Amino acid sequence: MRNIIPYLILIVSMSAASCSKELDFDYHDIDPITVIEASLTGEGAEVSITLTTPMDEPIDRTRLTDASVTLTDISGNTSSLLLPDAEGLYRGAYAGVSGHIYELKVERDGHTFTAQCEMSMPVEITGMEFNWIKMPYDHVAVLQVEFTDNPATEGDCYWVRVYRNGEAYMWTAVTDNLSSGGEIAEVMMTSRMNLDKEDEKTALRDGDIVTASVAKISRDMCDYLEAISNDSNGPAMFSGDFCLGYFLAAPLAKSSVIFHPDEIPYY
Amino acid sequence: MKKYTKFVYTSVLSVAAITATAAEPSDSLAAGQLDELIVTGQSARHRLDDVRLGAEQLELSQMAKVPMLFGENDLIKSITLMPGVHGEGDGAGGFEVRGGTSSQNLIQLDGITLYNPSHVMGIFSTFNDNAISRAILFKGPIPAHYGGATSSVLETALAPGDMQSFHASGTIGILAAKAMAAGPIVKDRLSFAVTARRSYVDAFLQMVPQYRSTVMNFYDITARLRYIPRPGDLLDMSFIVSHDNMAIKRLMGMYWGNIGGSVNWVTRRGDNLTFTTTGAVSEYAPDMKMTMMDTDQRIKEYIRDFSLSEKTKLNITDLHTLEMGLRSELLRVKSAEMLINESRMTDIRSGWQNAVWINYDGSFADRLALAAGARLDIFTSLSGDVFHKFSAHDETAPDFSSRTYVSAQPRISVKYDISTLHSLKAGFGISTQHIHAIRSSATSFPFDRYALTSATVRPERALQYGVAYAGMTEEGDYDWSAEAYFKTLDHVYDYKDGRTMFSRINLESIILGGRGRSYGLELMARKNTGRLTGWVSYTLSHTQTKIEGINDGRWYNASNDRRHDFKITAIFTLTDRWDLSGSWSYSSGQPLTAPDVKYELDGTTCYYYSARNSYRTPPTHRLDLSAIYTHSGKKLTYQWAFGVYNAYCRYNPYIVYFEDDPSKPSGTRAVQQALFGLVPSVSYTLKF
Repeated sequence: MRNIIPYLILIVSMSAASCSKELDFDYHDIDPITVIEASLTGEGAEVSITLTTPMDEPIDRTRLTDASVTLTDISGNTSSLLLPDAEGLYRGAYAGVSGHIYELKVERDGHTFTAQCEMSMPVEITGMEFNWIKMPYDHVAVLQVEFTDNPATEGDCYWVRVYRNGEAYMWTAVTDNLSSGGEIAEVMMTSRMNLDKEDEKTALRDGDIVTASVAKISRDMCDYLEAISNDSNGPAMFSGDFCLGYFLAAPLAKSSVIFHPDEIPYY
Repeated sequence: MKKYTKFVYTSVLSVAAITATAAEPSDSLAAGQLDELIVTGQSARHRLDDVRLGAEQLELSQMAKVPMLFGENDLIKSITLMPGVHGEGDGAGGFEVRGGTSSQNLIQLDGITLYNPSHVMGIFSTFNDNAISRAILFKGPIPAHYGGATSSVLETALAPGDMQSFHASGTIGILAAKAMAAGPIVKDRLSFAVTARRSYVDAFLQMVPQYRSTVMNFYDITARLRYIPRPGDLLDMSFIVSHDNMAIKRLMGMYWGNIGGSVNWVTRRGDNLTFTTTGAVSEYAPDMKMTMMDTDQRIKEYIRDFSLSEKTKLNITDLHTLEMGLRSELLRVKSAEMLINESRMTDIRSGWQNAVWINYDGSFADRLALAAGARLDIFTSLSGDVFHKFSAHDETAPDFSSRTYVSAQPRISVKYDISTLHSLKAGFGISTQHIHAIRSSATSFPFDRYALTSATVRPERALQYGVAYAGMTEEGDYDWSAEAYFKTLDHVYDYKDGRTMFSRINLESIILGGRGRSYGLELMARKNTGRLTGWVSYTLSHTQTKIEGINDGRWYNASNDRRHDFKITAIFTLTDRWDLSGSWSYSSGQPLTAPDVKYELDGTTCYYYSARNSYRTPPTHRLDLSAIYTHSGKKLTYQWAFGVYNAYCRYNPYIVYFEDDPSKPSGTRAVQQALFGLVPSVSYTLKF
């Protein structure tokens, strides 16, 4: 409901909009903030540390490699120091164990950032399909990703990420309010049919490989993702010094389809 | 998508005022009520002599000549031309008074409380100008007989039907059609007045293949029956329904509207004693749904209001009046019901509001006038299964225990006449409000969620102080005023950072309460006579909010803060048939929460906001022009109205957002979306 109904409201309101123009904006200067993206899956651990970029500069994706990064399996009582590789990513080879609690500690430049996460149970993607759905302005390819949800528990949340030819495309956070019969079907509006009018960032072309990745996440992580998708900051995911980002311990379920617009049924 | 707003529409201007003044009842009791029925304006003398700070009786006949969007005469849009009042902006239908939000206004029609009274994203208000006979706006300390609002009160009345003769009018336009019929059922005893309006933009959309699935219409109907059972008694029954439909067939829909009715019984005993009993019910019910592939989602809300009031007015002497009254009101609020596939989540609660009030109006020693009143407000959040309902997934239930809040609310205005042409006024008032609109955006939206005062949510409370000076020329050709105010608010609520109306069903778990403050200076000058009339107003103001947990607990500019607000309106009578008018308005930019830095998460650009509302949008300004041709015959009157809204096509900010733009060196651009460009209009009205 979060990502669909507001999007549809925006369609209606912005469809009546008469004109758009770019604004000259005088942004405020603030000190750079550390951004930590950390994930532990069944294949291993990966941590990226960057800094925020001022709005009037191109995003600086330079990864910082002068930090001390420690991953601790609190449940298994083991600890590992992660080291940066050639890409600047701190990696660890061992796989996370569902049900174990893990702690990530990053120390850099006199600051310490700590987060804990329980490795969630795996989910399974049971289906991926596109439908063309008629909007006032054009047909839009709506992607439905179906995956398993444990009906015995309530309040479960999931992070659904979609990639186009291996590159990040879009994502959304979903709760089990959508669950029906132990399955969740999440719909996401993707590319419009008329590619001449579609932004290159969201255009899907014949032959594009569309991959969905689903991970079960904590409620806090869900709130964080919801906040940043609603143009807000959200709760801090790390304790200690302030930073942005997250630590996610979850096995990933993945599935792919090839986008063939002529084969997509009309809803 | 085609631009709906570029269609040429016809509209009505001024029919309502003309109809209302022509519909004066001639019965002696009704004549005794003339001061309530037929006053459609407020002379300079009346403005000077009015003891109440910030009271504006709207001159409907004059407002009818002011150019409006699509040429549709709109009461709410007209109100925004007053000092200290501004609209929420294009695309929003509410008005904001002295730093308050639109949800802090009490809007009543014959005692029926209306919520979010607007159509089609605020393009029109619920008020059909054909139907309204009177509108009074109280900006300053609110009179004691009103409760439930911390910012202002807009009291409106439906025009009753003529007791002697039948009248009707009809207007057809490209955007909407409306009709009015009024007259006697039994002469001198029973009359009726009915108005109806319906838009039919969707009828035109059906002609365009790609929009055949689009539904976009609204309608509203008002009706008033007046019955005079015997001399000294008057019974009015009023009804209103308004509804909006915006949908894409078989996919999604948004529906909202008000429905309500009231019975007003006025009985006079002697020349000095009047009793008024009012019973009213109303419901505001938005509904939003979407069906897409295997997903069905729906969110429903309502506000239900049942009230019974009694007012007694005693004219002690010609100079002294005493009023007192009681009111009991039952409120039931469904802040949301979310139906998502098989899951169902609900949050409903009820409250009971009672009040007793007294007000004195009097003059002393030729120079001093006083309006002093007090209201005792008692609100109880109702416990018990019949009064509340809560169901959710993995959420803690809110506290449904009963709690009673008692508030003593003095309301005082005093006026001192320096001379017959100059006066000073001062006032103070306390008011409370128990329905809190929690907004995800800066402007009203049919689907704001509403929190009811409870064991956790405290009543919103406002203290307002004001001083004013008013003056006029000898004959009232010109009058002017300067008014300063200071207002503090307790227990204003807002969403926690990152939360929206969909975040949780338990609304109280995602909101925080805090304080607000607002202060300002309003200046106004009017020319009332001659071929050229009009007014100029300027407001300098500042409005802030402070809530622990938001903006690090620091004061921040409220979303409705507008530092400067300037308006000029001119109406020129060219000939006895032609009226020309123009209005120009300027308002400072709206506070905006914009990002300061950006970063990437999983390859997607994200933004970080260091402070709330620390930026501003570009200012809003607009020129509107109109020309009205009126031909009054013996039996029929017809009117052509031509208008241009936003004559120099200023694209005022409606939405501001930030997005990636690879063509820019920074990779980011800020985009402003405007709603309206230049909008011409033509209308034709026929009445008899």
